[in-house]
Parts: sequence; structure tokens; C-alpha cells
Amino acid sequence: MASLKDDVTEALKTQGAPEGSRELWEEIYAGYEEGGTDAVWNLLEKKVKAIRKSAKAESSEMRAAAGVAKPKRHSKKRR
Amino acid sequence: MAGKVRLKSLEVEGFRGVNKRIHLDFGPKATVISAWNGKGKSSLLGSIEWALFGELRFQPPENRTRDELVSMFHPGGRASVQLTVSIDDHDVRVSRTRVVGKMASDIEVTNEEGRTLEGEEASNYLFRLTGLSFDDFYRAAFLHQDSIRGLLTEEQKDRDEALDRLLGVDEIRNILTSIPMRPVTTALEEIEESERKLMQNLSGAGTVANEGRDRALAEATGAGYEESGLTLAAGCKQAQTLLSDLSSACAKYGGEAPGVAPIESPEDIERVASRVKRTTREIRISVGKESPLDAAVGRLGTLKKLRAEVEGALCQLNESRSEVEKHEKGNGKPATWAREGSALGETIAKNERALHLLDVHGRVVADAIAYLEAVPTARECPVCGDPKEAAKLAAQLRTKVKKDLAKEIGRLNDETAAANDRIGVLSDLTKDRESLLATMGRCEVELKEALAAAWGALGMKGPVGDVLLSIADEYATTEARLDPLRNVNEAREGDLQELDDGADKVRVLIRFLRAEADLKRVREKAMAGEGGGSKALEEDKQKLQNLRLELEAITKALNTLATGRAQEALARCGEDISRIYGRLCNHPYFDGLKIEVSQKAVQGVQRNTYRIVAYSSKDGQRTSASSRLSTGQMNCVALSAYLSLSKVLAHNLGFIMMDDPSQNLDSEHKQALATVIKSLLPAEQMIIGTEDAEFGGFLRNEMGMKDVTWFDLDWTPRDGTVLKPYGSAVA
Repeated sequence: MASLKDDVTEALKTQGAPEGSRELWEEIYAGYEEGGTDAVWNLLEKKVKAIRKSAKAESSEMRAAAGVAKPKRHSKKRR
Repeated sequence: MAGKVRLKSLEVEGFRGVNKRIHLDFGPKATVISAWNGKGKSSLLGSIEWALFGELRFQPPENRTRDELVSMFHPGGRASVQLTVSIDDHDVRVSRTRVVGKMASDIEVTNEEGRTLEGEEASNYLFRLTGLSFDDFYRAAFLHQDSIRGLLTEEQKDRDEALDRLLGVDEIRNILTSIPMRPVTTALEEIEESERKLMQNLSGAGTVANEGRDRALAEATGAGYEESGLTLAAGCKQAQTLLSDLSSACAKYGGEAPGVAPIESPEDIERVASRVKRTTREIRISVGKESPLDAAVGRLGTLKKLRAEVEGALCQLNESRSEVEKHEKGNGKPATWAREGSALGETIAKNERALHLLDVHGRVVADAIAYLEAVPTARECPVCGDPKEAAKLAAQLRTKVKKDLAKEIGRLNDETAAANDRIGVLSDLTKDRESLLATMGRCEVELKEALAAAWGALGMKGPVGDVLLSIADEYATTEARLDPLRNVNEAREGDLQELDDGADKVRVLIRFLRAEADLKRVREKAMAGEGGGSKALEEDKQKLQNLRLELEAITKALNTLATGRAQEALARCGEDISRIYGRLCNHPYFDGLKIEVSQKAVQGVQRNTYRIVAYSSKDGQRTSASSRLSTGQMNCVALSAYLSLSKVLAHNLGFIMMDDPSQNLDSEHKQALATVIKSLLPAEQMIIGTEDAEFGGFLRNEMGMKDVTWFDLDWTPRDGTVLKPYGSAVA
């Protein structure tokens, strides 16, 4: 029996998987071999987090752009 | 370790029903332990399970302390099992002991290299050696009398997971579990939601920015700008001019000259405007402290005040003098009043003496009258001795006194009273004069003080007239200086105001530039988002979508592989399962049995799911094995699945243990089971415990004595389970 890594790579090739999925699979498998399921989870979570962080930064910039044009609201101070 | 683990020997002492030590050597093909119920079959089979895993699965709940694991008759109160297994012709010895009252057992393993392992290390070694967890041991290698149908009746989820493990696709299942599809989807949804909200914000912000720009433009137009001139370059140029004007003003009016710095941005222009404002304020404060105009105006005020004070004091003095003169003129001089007063005093004194004499005189006359009245016979005057008649004389005296004395006293008193009145008038006049003189003295002091102040202010000494003249001169001179000074002041203020206005104007330009920059920025973001989001957000979204697609592809590949591998394994035992089922069950309609694997979505993740299906080879009808068949038939199904799967399961055990496998089977099925068991030899080492004499007979008939090691058991309260000569236990 071929190894799981090769079998999945072959299956990805056969099913016409998107570019990058083979590289990602290799990363996942290497992570699994190194640190088990936790390592795979962490690896993918790290990727998602990186994208979320970038999106968050861009959102902040857009919010700032929207906020600059808004008139400032002055709240009444309570005495 | 390429080979399979097989049982070689077992030595048990003090374990459950076994009290004295028993030693069994397992046969290479099959071992049958035959005994009536309660003689120790399950104890011996359970001791193998306990030695390998340190646990017994089927313990009654009340035996939580597991003290019943140790034989109550064992003198040492200790259970010990030594199990020898072989793998690739190497022996591995497992020794486990437990003392009554203690929860944990001690394990020692001597591995194939002769190394002794203990505790957790030993347990880990055994896990690697067997390739099975405790739970899976029951699914794969130990058909226990209490769980003979366990594979059929357990929870679908547990069975799926167990078969995945047993068919060797657990690695795939683990990887699938660790692929976080949900966080990717959630992150994608979050970004889309955030983008949608931001676009709404930007749309509103665009309107506000546009209005802000219009306001700023109106303000700039109002300040005199042309719309075409509202550029950063124009602002920089204007700021440069402003800075140059400020330098000139500083040179002229003494402010701190600004340094030279490049003006390239609205911030630089704002800096220049702030600097201009600050410097003009400082110049105003500085000039205001020493202003000649203010000094001149102040001097005029001082002179005015001095003049008023001197003139006022002088006027009051003159008035008080004229009062004194007027008093003298009307009432005479004090010397006259003194002489008159002295004369009046003398008159009063003289009158007082006269009155005193009159008083004495009157008393004498009164005494004489009293005498005359007391001595009416007296013929002479007691005063003068003249001979007179007493009564007559007394009357004469009384008349005289009444008339003359009273008149004189009245005159004297009137004169004295008039003198006293006059003295009072003179006293009042003196007091009035003193008062007028005192007022005049105060006026003189005030005038002196006013003069002293004026002398101090004018820097000269002189009489009042000179002082007033000097004040008038200086006042006129100072007043003449006011207009030129005012002109200088106005010119400076004009310059400073011009600078301030320039700063204000350039600030209007900055406000416009900023409003326009805001509008531009918002428009850029909004325009970038017209396609559904900002460019960067779009890229992030695309990355997440790619990641999701890639993960979906990997998941799909893994699932295909998991199903494929499971199908492949099951296909290898497909013929066996039907054959064994056919022999064992002999169902009149559902004559075939198979294990099917398919995909099932569990919480968004595809998983293998297994069904054990009985079918009819004639018309293809199917049924779930666990729902339609009788208890005995289900036992046959379970035995079929169990025995056929043993060939394909991915563990390292080369033996199968069966405890009372013939439960609920009729004679025909028992015969069939014995035949099937024989057919599995020698691929699997069989360890069978049975109390069923009929089944035992079938086994003997099928397998004969050559390939089977037989043990008969007996039990006594003192010794517990003991081995008996073959054939004596189950006849």
C-alpha cells in the first residue's frame, strides 16, 4: 500500500484539485507527522488568523476613512 | 514487528476464581478450555485481557474497587498473571500483579530484546505491540460472552470510529478532524459582513465628506479665493509670503523671527499659520507693556488728577478763609470778646458780693423783727438802741425790708443773669471761630499735600500758581503728542492684523484642502469597494476562498481515500463473511451478509459510516442485521463479521479469544460454528472457552486432537480453579 501522503497527492491530482492544494496537503501531512492533529489545527488556524489580521487592518483603515468624514459627536458631560 | 502476536503460555495465581497457581501452554493452532459454568474459564481468558491492558471490561458496577479481581482465598491477597507471547519467534513476557486493597497494578514486560520495562513504558510498549486499545481489543480479538453482539448493537458513531480504527483509516479520520473548515467559513463570513458594514459607512461618509467639502469651498470663496486657486501650491506660496511678512514684522516690532523650513504639506502650512498667530500675539503683549501712547494717555490722566487736587484744595482753603473773615466781621475780634468777658465777670462778682451783704443785712433785720415780736415791751431798738416802740418798729422794719431789699436783690439778679447770657454768647463765638480755623488748617494741609504730589510729579517746587501753570503747560504738550502716537499704534496694529488675517485665510485654504483630501480618500475607498469590497479585503477574501477550496479538495481526497481503503479492506473479507454467515446462519431468505461503508456528513465533516446488512441473493432485498434477525441469528451475524474481519483488521494480534461463542445457537449452528472455526486455522490462533458439551464435541470432531490443546477445569473452594485430566470436565 502506498503511503497516505502519496495516495492523497494522487487523489488531488486525479480530482483536479485547485492549485496550491497539493502544497497545502504536504504542509498538513508534515504537520501531522511532526505534532499530530494539534499541529495540523494550529497550522491551518495560523493561516486563517494571518488572513483575518490582514483583513482587520484593512477594515480599520476603511473605518478610519469613513470616520474622518463624519462630524464629531459631542456627548454632554454629566454633572 | 512484521509478524503477529501469538499466545504462548499463561500462569495465573490469585486472580478471580483462580487461587493456586495454574500454568497453561497454548497450542499453536487452537486451545479449548472446557468446563462447566463457574469453574474459571472466563477468569483464565480475562487474565489474558488483564495482563495486556490492566483492566477487565465486564465488571459489575458495585465492584468499583475491583477487589474481587484478587481471589479472596489467596493467602498473600495478591493476583498475579504471567503471560508469554511470541512474535517472530521472539518471546515477550508480560507480568502483572495487584495486591488487594490497592487500585493500581504493577506491570513488568520483558521485551523481545530481553529488556525489562515497567509501568507506563511497559504499557506503551504493549500498545505498540498489539496495535489495539482496550476497547478495540473487544471488537477485534476477544469475543466475550457478555458482548457477543456488541459490534451490531453499539452506537453507530462508536462503531464507525472503531471500524475506522480497526480497518486502518483512523489516521485519515484524525487528519480530517483536525482540518478546521468551520473557522475558515466563519472568517470568510466575518470579512464579508465587516466589508458590507464598512461599505455602508463609507457611503454615508461620502455624503458627509462631500458636504464638508462644499462648506469649506463656500468658506474659501467667502474669504476671497477662486476655486481654481485652492491648491496646495497656492497654499504653500501664501504661507511662504506670510512667513516673510512675519519676519519683517518681527524685525520692526521686535518679535522672535521664524526659522526657515520647507513648506510642502498642509501640516507645514498649518504650522506657519499657528506661528504667525502666536508671534503677533506675543508682539501685541510685548508692545502693550511699554506703549508711548498709553504712557502719554496715562500722563494726561495724572496731570488732570493733580490739577484737580491742587485746585480743589486751594478752593477749599480760600472758602474757609473767607468764612473766618466773615465771622470776624460780624462778631468782632477775640480780644474784644476777652475784654467784654472780663468786665462781665467783674460785674457778676460785684453783684454777688452785694447780694451777700444784702443777705446779711436782711438776716439782721429778720432777727430784729423776731426779737421785737418776741419782746413787745422793749422800748428801744435792739440794733441802734434808739428808743422806739417795739411793735411799731417791727412793722417799720418789715416794710422796709419788703420794699427796699427785695427790689435791690431783683435788680442785682437780673444784672448777673444778663452778664451770664452774654458770656455764653461770647463762648459760642469763640468755639465757632476755633472750628473755622481748624477747617482752614486742614485745607492748608491738603493743599500742601496736593502741592507736594504735584511737585513730585512735575519735578519742580513752587507756589500754587506756578504749579498750576506748569501742569497746564505739560498737559498741552502731552495732548499734542497723542495723535502721532495713535498713528504709529494704528500702523503696527494694522500690520499685525494683516498677518492674522493672512493666517486665518491660509487656514481656510487648509480646511478646504483637508476636506477635499477626506472626500478623495472616502471616494477612493468607496470606488475600490464598488466591486464588492476594498482591494485588500478582496484579496483576503480570495485567499480564504482559495484556502477553503483547497481544504475542501483535500477533505474530499481524504474521504475518498478513507472510503476506498475501508471498502478495499472489507472487500477482502467480503467472500468470507458471506461464506461464514451462510454456514452459520443458514437463513431461509436473507442468505447473504456484507459490511457496507459509505460517506456521511457529521457536523459538517464527511465520515465513513458502516452498516452490517443481510440480503437475499435471490431478489436482492436487504435488511439491517441488527433489527430483523432473531437473537441466535444475530449471534451468527456477529460471529460472521467478527471472524471474517479478523483477517483484515489492522492490528498485530494473531489470536482470537472466544468466550462461550455457542450461546443461543442450536445444534446445527453449533456444528457450523465448529466447522468455521476449523476453517480459520492455522491463520488465526484460537482460544475458546466453552461450557457447551455439544459444541465441545463438535469441536473435537472437527479439529481432532492433533491441532488442539485441550484443558478441562474444576473448582474447589480451597484451591479455586484447577486443571483436570483431559475429558473429565465436559463429557
